[in-house]
Formats: sequence, C-alpha cells, structure tokens
Amino acid sequence: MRTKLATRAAAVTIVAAFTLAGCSSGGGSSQNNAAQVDRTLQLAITAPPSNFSIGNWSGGDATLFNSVYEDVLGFGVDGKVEPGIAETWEYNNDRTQLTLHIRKGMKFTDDTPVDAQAVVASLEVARKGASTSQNLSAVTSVKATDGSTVVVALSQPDAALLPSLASTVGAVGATKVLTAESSKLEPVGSGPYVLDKSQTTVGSTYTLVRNDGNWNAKAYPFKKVVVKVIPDATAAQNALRSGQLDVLPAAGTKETVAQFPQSQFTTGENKATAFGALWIVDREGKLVPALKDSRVREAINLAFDRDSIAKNLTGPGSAPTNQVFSPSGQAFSKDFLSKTPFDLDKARKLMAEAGYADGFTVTMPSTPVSTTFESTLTQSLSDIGIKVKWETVPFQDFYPKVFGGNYGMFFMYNGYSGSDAQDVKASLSGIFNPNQNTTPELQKLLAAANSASEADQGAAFRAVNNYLVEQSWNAPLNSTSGYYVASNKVKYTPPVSYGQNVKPYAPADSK
Amino acid sequence: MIIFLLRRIGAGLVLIFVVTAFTFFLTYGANIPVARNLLGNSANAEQIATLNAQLGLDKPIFEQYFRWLTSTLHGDLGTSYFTNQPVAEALAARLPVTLSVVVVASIITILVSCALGVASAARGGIIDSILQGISTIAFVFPGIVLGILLVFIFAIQLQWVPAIGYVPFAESPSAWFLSIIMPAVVLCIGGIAAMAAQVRGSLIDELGREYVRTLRSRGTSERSILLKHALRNAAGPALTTFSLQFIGMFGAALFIEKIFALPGYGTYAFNATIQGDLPAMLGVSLFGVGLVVVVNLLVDIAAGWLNPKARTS
Amino acid sequence: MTTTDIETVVQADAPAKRAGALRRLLRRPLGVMALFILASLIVLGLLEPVLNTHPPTFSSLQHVNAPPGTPGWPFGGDQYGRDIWARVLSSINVSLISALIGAGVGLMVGVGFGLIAGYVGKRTDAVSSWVFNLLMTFPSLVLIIILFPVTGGTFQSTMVIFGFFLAPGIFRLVRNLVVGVRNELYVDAARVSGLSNRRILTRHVLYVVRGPIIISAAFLASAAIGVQAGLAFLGFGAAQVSFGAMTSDAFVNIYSQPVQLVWAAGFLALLNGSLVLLGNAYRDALAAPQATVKRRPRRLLGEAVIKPAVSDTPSSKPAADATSGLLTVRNLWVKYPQPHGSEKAVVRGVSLDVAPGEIVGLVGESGSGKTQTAFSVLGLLPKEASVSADALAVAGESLLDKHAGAMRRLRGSAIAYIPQEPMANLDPSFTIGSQLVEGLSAGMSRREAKDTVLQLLARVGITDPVRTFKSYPHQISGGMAQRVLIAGAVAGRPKLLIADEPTTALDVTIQAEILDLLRDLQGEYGMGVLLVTHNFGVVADLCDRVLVMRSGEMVESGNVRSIFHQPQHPYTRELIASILDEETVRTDPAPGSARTHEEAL
Repeated sequence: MRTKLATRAAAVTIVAAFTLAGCSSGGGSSQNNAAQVDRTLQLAITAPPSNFSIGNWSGGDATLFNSVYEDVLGFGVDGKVEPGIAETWEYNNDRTQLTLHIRKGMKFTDDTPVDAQAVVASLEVARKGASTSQNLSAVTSVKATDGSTVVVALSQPDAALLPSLASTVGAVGATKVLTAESSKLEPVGSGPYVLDKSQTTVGSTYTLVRNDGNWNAKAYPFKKVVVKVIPDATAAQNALRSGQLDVLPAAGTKETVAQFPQSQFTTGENKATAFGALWIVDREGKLVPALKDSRVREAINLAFDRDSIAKNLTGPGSAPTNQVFSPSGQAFSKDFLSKTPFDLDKARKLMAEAGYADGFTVTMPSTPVSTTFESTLTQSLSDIGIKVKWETVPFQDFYPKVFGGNYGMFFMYNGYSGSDAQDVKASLSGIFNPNQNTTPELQKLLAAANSASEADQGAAFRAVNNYLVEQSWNAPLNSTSGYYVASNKVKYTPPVSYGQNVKPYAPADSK
Repeated sequence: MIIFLLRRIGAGLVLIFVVTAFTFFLTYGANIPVARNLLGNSANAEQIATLNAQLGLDKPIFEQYFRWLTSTLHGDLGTSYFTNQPVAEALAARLPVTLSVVVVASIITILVSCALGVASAARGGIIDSILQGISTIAFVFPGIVLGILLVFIFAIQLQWVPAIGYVPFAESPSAWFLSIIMPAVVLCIGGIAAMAAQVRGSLIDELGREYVRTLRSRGTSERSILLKHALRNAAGPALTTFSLQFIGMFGAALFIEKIFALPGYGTYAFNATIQGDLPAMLGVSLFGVGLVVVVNLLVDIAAGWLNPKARTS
Repeated sequence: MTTTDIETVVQADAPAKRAGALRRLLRRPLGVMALFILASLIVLGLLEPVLNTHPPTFSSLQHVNAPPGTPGWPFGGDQYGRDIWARVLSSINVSLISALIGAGVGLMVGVGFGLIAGYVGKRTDAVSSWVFNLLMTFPSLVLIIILFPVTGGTFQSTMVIFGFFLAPGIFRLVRNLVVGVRNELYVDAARVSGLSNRRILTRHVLYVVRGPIIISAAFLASAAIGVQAGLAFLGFGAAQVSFGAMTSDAFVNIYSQPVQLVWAAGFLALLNGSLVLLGNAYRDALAAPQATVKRRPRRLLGEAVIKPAVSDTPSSKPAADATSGLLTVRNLWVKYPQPHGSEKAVVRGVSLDVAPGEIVGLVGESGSGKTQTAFSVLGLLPKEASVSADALAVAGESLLDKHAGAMRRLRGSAIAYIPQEPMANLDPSFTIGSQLVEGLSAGMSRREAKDTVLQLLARVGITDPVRTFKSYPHQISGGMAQRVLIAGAVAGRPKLLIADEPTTALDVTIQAEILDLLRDLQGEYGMGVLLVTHNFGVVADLCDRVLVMRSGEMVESGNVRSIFHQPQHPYTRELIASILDEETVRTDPAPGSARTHEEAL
C-alpha cells in the first residue's frame, strides 16, 4: 500500500521523509560475485536526493548516499550490525561509552586517510546536523584516543546508537570538504562507489562507478550503477518492461507485479517496509479532552477491523499490526495483536465508561497519504460515536500544523528502520509525539531496554512494545511490504529495509 | 521594424518584471514553512530558526525581493533549497529536454495541421466533416491514454523507442530523436486539431476575399489560388495561433514529462512547487515568462517577414 | 457592389438570423448530439444525490477493484474500493463547477472590459488592450502551478485564477466586435435618441456580439475542465474527487485494471467533446446557414455551375433570337437559399445581348441584381447560388452546365473582369509582376511572360513599369492599381470585358483617365464590354447601349441616346435625374463599415 501511495509525487515526499535512514545489507548474496566486474545496474528512485552533505540527509532512498559514503558501521540483512569503517567495537559495562576500532589503511577518494580524526570530525558534524542531531542526542563527546581508536561517550545508554552509526547518521566524509558547499552535490567519501559527475545530471540521472579502493569492493559485483529519477510509478514500470531498469524494489501490489511476464521477470514479496497508524498525539487532552482518557484510546483501537483492512484495503503484501515495531524485529509480537481485537461492543462500552457515550468530534488532516484510509477511518470511528472532520492540508503545511497542536490525531505512515531501538525512538519523537508525552513507566522501560545487552534487548523492547499497546499509545493499523519485480538479469534479495544501498542486487547468473 | 522590435522587447522586459514580482510576493509572502520542510520531522525550533536566517527568510519581504532582484540581474538565480543545485544551472540543463519535445511537436503540428487545414478548406463536404470529427476526438481524447498506448506498442512490445528518459542530442542524435518522438507526438495531438481549425478558417476567409475572385477571373488554377495565394495570406493569423499553441504545449509538456519520466522544465516546476522551493519557483516563472517573450518576439519577426508591408517599410 | 452585398442578400437582419441560428443548430445532427450529451451529463451531475450509490469517498474493503456490474457498484470499485460510478457523478459536478467558474470569470472579465474598451475607445482601449495582451502571454499553467501553495489548493480558487487567464481571448473578441458595431447606424441612432451608454452597451452592442461569445464560452468551459483535470492528474488537489484524480488513480492501475481508465477518461472526453462539438456546431450554424438548408455537397472552392432553366421558372420575357452576338443571356435566374428553407431570387429572368465591339452599360441601384448578372456570366458566383438560364453563351460557346475547368479556361481567354476596389483585388503578399505573370505563364516562358507584362503595364499608362512590376500592392496608388488590374484583364486578349464599377472607388480626376483608357483598349482590341455601374454619367460617356435593372428585373433597354432622351420607365427617369447629384444616388453602404460587419459575423 505504501508503495502504491508513494506513486503520487506528493505522497512520496512525505513518506520518504519518514522512512528513517536505516542501513541494511544483503551482504550474504553478493559476497562471492567478484567475477562480475563489468555489469551495470539500473535502478530508479522516486525523488532526487536533495543533499549529500553529512548531517543533512533528509531521508528517502539512501542508496546513493550510502554508496558514496562508507559508514562507521554497516547493517546485515537480518538487522545485525556489521563492521564498516570500524572493524570492531565494544561498550563499557554500563553501556555509556562506545569504543570504535578504526580499520587501518583506508583512504577517501581524495586520497586523504580515513582515520580516527576523520571519524571524529564527521560525527561532530552529524551531532549538529539538522537531520542527525536527534539520533546522536545521547552522545556527550566523541574523541580520538589514537590514530585508530574513537571513544564515544554517552549521557545514558542508547540502544539506537549502533544502528544509527550503521546508517546515514554514521557516514564519514573527507574532513576538508565536510561542511563545504561543494559537499552538497559532490560528496567525497570512502564508500564502495564514487558519484561520476560527468555521467550525472542532477535531478534526473546519477551514475555511480565502483571505488575499487574500498575495503569491501569485492562485495559489489556491479562496476557501474545508474540511478534514474522516475517519480511516476507507471513510468517506472514501463521503464522496467522496456529494459531501461533492472529492478523495481517497490513495484506495487501483487496484482501489479503479476502483470509482468514471468519469462522475463522475477517477482516476490518484500519484507515489511512501513506501517500506517492513527497517531493519537493529544494524549494530554489539550485540544480533544477525550483523548486523554486511555479508555477512549483503547476504544479507538478496538474500533478497527485490522484484518479486513489488510485483506481488502491494502491487499496482499500488507498485514494487520497494532505495534510500532517492525514484524522483522525481535520486539514485535504476534500475540499482542489479540490485545486490540475488533470489538465494537467493548469499544462503545469503554466510550460510555469514559463519559463519551454520545461520542465527540475530531478534526484530522487530509493528506495525499491519508486519502486511502479516510473513508475507513471515518466509518470505523463513527461506529463508536467519533465524528471525523477532514481538513485538507497542503503538505508543505503538514509539519507546522501538527507541531502547532492543530490536531488531536492524524493518519500517517512511518518507515521501519531495521532496528527496534530506532523504531520506537522515531515513534516517540517528532510529529509522532509533538508534545513529547511520556510516563515514568515508559521511561523506566526504555532505560532498561537501552541499557540491556545485545542478548536481552529483544525482550526489553518487547516490554516497551507491550506497554505502548496496552496503553493504546497510538493506533497502528497496518504494516506493508509490497512486491518487487526484477528482470531476470538481476537477482534481488529483499532487505529488512529497502532503499539503503546496492547490496541487495546481484547479477542473476552469480549463484 | 527595428523600433517596433525594440518596443516589443521593452514590453517583454516589463512583462518579465511584472510576472516575477507578482510571483515573488505571492510565494514568498505565503509563509511556506520552508525550513521545517527542509529539515524534516526531527529538527528543533532552534535549527529551524538558524536555517531561516541562513536562507534570509527572516528578513522583511521587500529586502528579500531586492536581494533576489539584484542577484538575478547579475545572472544568479539562487540555489534550490531542495536539490542544492543553482537554479539557473538546473533550468539550463532541463530546458533543452522540454524544448526538444516542444520544438519537434511544433514541427509536426505545423506540417500536419497545414495539410489537414488545406484539405479541409479545399474539399469541404464529407472530408471536412471527417477531419473535424477526427480533430475533435483528438482534442478531447486524453493525451495520457494515447501516451500509454504508444508506450505499450512502441516501447514495450516493439522496443523501437525507449519508454522513458531523455538522451541529449550531443550524445547521439538518433537516440535523442527516439527519446522524444513519442512525447512529441502525444503533445502535438491537441495542438494539431486547434491549428488545423485555424488554418481552415483563415483559408476560408482568404478564399472569400476579392483578390481571389480576380485571380479566378484571370483563369488562375484553384491549386495555385489555394496553395500559393490563400495559404500565404492565411499564414499570418495561423502564426499567431501557433505562438499561443507553442506556449500551450510548453505548459502541457508537464503532463507528458510525467508519463515519459523526462527530466524537463515541467517536472522541475512541479517539484519546485510541491516542495515550496522558492528560488526554484521564481526561476521557473522567470524562465517561463522569458521564453514566452522570446517566442512572441520570434513570431513578431516571422510575421513581419511574411507581411510585405512590414518588410518593405 | 462587393461580396458584402451578396452576404447581405443572403443573410436576413441580425435578430432574425440569431433566432434561426439556434434552430439551425438543432437541425445539425452533431449539434443535437452534443447538446443531448451535455444535457445528460448536467442532469447526471444535478441528480448526483439521488443517483449515486455511495458517497464518492466511501470505500468498501470488499469492493477493491470490483468488476463493473457488481450490484450497487455499477462501474465497479477502484483500487481503494471506492464506487467508480459515484466518483464519476461527483467528478461531473467538479468539472461543471470548474467550467462555470473558469469560463464565468473569463467571460465576466473579458466581456466587461471588452465592451468598455471597444465602446469607449481611445485611452481606455489602449490601456486595457495592453493589459490583456500582457495577460495573454502569461505562461498560465506554470503560474497556476507556482501559485498552488498560495491558492490553498482548492480547485475553485485555481479556476478563479485560470479564469483571468482565459479572459484575454474573450476581451479581444468582444472588443473587436464592439469596435465593428460601434459605428453602425442603429448604435448611432440609439445614441442620438439619448439612450445612456450603459443601455446602448447592454441593449444593442451586447445583443449583436452574444453569438460569438456563446461559442467562445463553450471552448473556455472545455479549457477550464481540461486544466482542472490535468492539474488533478498531476497530483495538485488529488484529495478532491475529480476526473483528473480518477485518471491518475487509473493510470497507476493501468496494467492490472485498464477498464478503470475508460470511465475517467471516457466521461471526461464526453464532457469536453460535447462542449467543443456544440461550440463548433453553433459556429457553423451562425456562419453558414445555407449548409443546413440544402444538404448538397459543400465545396468551399469553386463556383456555382449554371444550370439550364427548367420549365417551372417562367421567363419574364419570351426567349429571344438565336445566340448570334458576343454575349447572349436568356432568362437568367439567380437564387440564394434562405435560412428558413425557401429561396430568394436576386436576378429574375434577365435577358441581354452584347455584340462584338459594343459597350453595354448595365445600370441599377445596389441590390438591383446587376453585379449578380455580371458574375453569372463570369461564372464567379459563390457555390451556394443556384443559377439557371435558358441560354447563356459567350462568343457562341454555351456556358450552361460547363464544368469548372472549362470555365476557367474561358475566363483566362475569352472573358475578362475589372473589379471595383482595385486594392482589395490584388493579393497583398505578392508583387504586382508575379501576380500578372501568373495569369500568363500558361502559354509562354517566364521571360516572355515578364516582357509581355512589362509591355502591358506600359500600355495601360504606368510610367515606370519595371518598378511597378517589382512593387507590392500597398506600394502603389489606387489609380495605378486599377491600371494594373486592367492590364491583367486584357492580358489574355479577351473578347468580352466585364467591368464592375471600374471607377467608383477612384478619385474623380483619375476616373476620367481610367474611362479613357478603357475606351482606347476597347477600340484597340475590339472587345465587347459589359459595364456595370450605377452612374448614368459614366454610361453617357462610354456606352453604346444601356440596360436598366431594378429588383432583379430588366426594366428598360435601348441605345444610350434614346434612353437619355425618352426614358420610358419612371425608375430610369429617376436615375437620369440624379446624374446631376451623384452623391445622393449612391446608396451603397461605405465599403469599410459593411466589411467589418461581415467579418464580425
């Protein structure tokens, strides 16, 4: 569903902005393809990258960004953090200090060395960067103790730090041009590819040429990657059909991909990429007093027939969910689904108990993203007496309106990052929690999860998940994965979070 | 003629000034939350204020306008907020795409509509009705349906032309032509109908004039009357229609660029608007109106060349 | 007498014609069809609350991509399970409202300022024309898109803006029409009788210009609908149900559910198509009444073929002697079809003869049928005229049933023509030389033709033939132009020369020279001349015999002397009496104003 909506240029902008720059890799499939040196991979993105400068990556498809920059760490296909610039890393006992051991002998494409100082410089920029500072808010200092050791000190444990360093947040660029104006369009990194300016037309075509100096260059079988900007989904499908593209990771619904002839194309379902939720942001009842009452919020959760929404509205390639965590992660629990059954009687009873037997009226923003769900939301909520007034909002005004406290709740998608810690962080910040609501119980659970060891993290975040579901913090409805189509020339392995780098792609004859 | 052209150039500059000023005050005055949209969900108020100051958006609007005007006069249209590419550079890269399509579409339009118009004016009767019917259908038949059909047949089934994208002329003239021919065909359909009607109307007007009767009284052939005399005199009004068509096609290119994923002026305008990219929007309106002025000037010159009175004075 | 007169003969007065135009529109199958479709769509839109099966945004999860014909979902469901039928109905309304707003604003602004500018003229006209020309060249679509964040994205406000961009076309149209009718008699009369400007504008001027406005409104409406749909297709205002949004949804679904595109695109095409067809049909109904009256093949090129008379048209005079002279006309009838289906005869059974070397004057007032008679002989009457005669022969060659090619050959050689308005009868885009050479080049080389033309130019009294040869018509005087035309006429050494008021449009001093030239050439070439004129003075000066026509009939004929001394018919007497006061006889309308009027229609 998300992908279908994303076909509207407008929707793309918003959805892309919410798709956190997680970092994942299908490393396994591409490790042994070093022989395929001269292949070209043709990909499409829906919107051009705005900016390659570190700290200012504004979200969306990060394939280009993470190909040009090598990040401090990398992501595995299963969500595990893998080595990047840092060969190894370790936390101290209370997990407030992270020590990174920098790989030796690496160079940026301007031939300057990738050393501890360079890592510190990039992370310092990221700490201030508008799009990254929040991810590094727990960091109090970043210091190079020697040429190949970096120590990151934290004010409190943060389980999202490692996944962050494995994403665009952890990108490391050449020190000289880090904040230079030129870095916006001519990035200098040490990643597996270099942006070839002569074959790049900003805003329409970006050409990556393999950087054979990268430590892991052998893992990248394509000599050249051409990324075209194609905002229109049908145009992209046409391009794939006519051989101008190799893969469409987010081609659309099962029905859409079924139209591609099997003799030339391979299709399959992606991992869950995003979820749609009714975000109940006015938990203090400033604008809509009723929302303060957890019984009302629970009633809202009970009013939705999530199975039917997934089955009929969003169709194959989507699944019901009532959680902000990715089904691919450890915190997610299928059992929690039974906590919010479709139960109108109970919902009405809860409304009555809370003193809203006659319901109330709520205004919600109508955006290109919400249109699909509007009639379902209107009907479901009216079943328990809540009348919805939709207000059309030009999406330029969406953020300010939400931050300005104009809405008690709204419908919006959020992308899965590939990490439980990041997912919950995202859902508790920004427009999804504009009043920064929290409770002591939640704080306690979060602190415990953040300081838990790798082995215990899953269970700890599941406890956070449990709390959010039971408190009816929000009303997540539906997670989507969608389908991919690949030409038979290319083998595509759906990653945990798509659009991060070229690792999921390999020549078809490689295995 | 020279004075006339100078006056038209002057009027064109006034038009450019008026339109851009109009756009500036409406768009910059609309309080589009640029910084918030640029920085996204996670930015805090302080970062937003900093960015606003960096972009100069915290200044009074007249000061902003003055700054824009001065730098524009120096050839600097500013840098796009969202792609960080200089606006002038971006537009310079994108105009050739749109112009290629529009110019090729124009050539097709002129050739086909003249042929249709002449046939329709000369034959009348059933042929006229048929042509009118076809052109009406073409006029109302949504271009995208035709676009989809053409893509399916020629790009996907036959693979004669690419389904999307643009190849610069300098890279390969034949690939360039293949990459724009389908968009051009789709683009010119509506224009052909309107132009053919105009040519037909002007021709019929001319055929009703007295000099035509006098030519006939001297035994001049119908062929010569139609193709030489009437067509030549009908060219003036047709040219005016054509200039409007050309500008219209420039606007309609927006839809075509969407279907064929062409990185042209239209998609740039679309993205700029959708993102509230103020410098890009201003650049788009400046280039748009500038192009209109240039086209009108060229049409004036062509009309002058066609009209012996203007040419010989 | 010019083609203008033909038009005025054919067309009745304005109000009657207007009423007829509507009726004629209803007789055109295309017009009726368009009107019917448009009306049906409007009714569908109005009845939306009754007809729709669901609210347009209602989505049923069970009906995602439901096939057409699903109970309660006549056109099926779209990809979000919304009722396509309901969305079509709602979209019709959105399109109609767009059309109303867009065309409405365009018309109000355009007509309002057009009326004022055209009627007041002077500075007001200059300023508003400048402003509207400016507006016309605005890249409207780009600006509308740019201003999208400002307009708040509702299609209504977008259409208001678009309306302003539609206004210049209307403004120009109305302004030109008003300038055309401003000086006409009935407006003058209204002004004299003390009507206020506002009343004159609304009562008289607006009345005359409303036909073209109605036509334009149809096109404006269609433009507004198209732009609204286009913007929605691009995603501007995608939340609003409209054909554009529907098309966009269907476009995404094109490969899996192509039928969904049919509904959106089909209804949009129907709506737009009916508007455009209606506009076209109404325009044709206004412009070409005859086409609806007689369903005969319309060839816009070419002329009426002269038919032998059939028995039911009675001769006003018994058929005369055999075809011995240079020109023989017997019982000539010229009729034009009228809007209400009948025919109006403008020449009624005229017979005349011209002997070789004889100059015959054909005299009468405007509308007497003299020019129609002359053009019948030339075979140059418009194709909608029906021409019949018992006999019509030039130099023994019968013109009855002669096909176009043969007539043309005859015109190139045996018959020649000198028109009234020298300037209007030269093609402004070609040099004098090339126009004259063209008439000759059939029988000789270009070089010979050029020499012949230069000699001819010298012969007709042009002092610098080489220079005139190279000149464009606007570079020479009216008198020179008439000499050029005479040269062109005699170039083929014709046996019969038909001169239609050859001196009327010229200065008095030049008139005499031209008449002398004609007399000389007539003598030199031994041509027979049929001189059409309203001026007995010219007749007295030049002619051997004279024929007097009135209301399409021959009232008197005889040699010049006898007619002058003993005019039999009172009408002839009247005409002769008025020689002394030339200006009072001339009742032809000033060519300029009549022409504008014709163009306006």
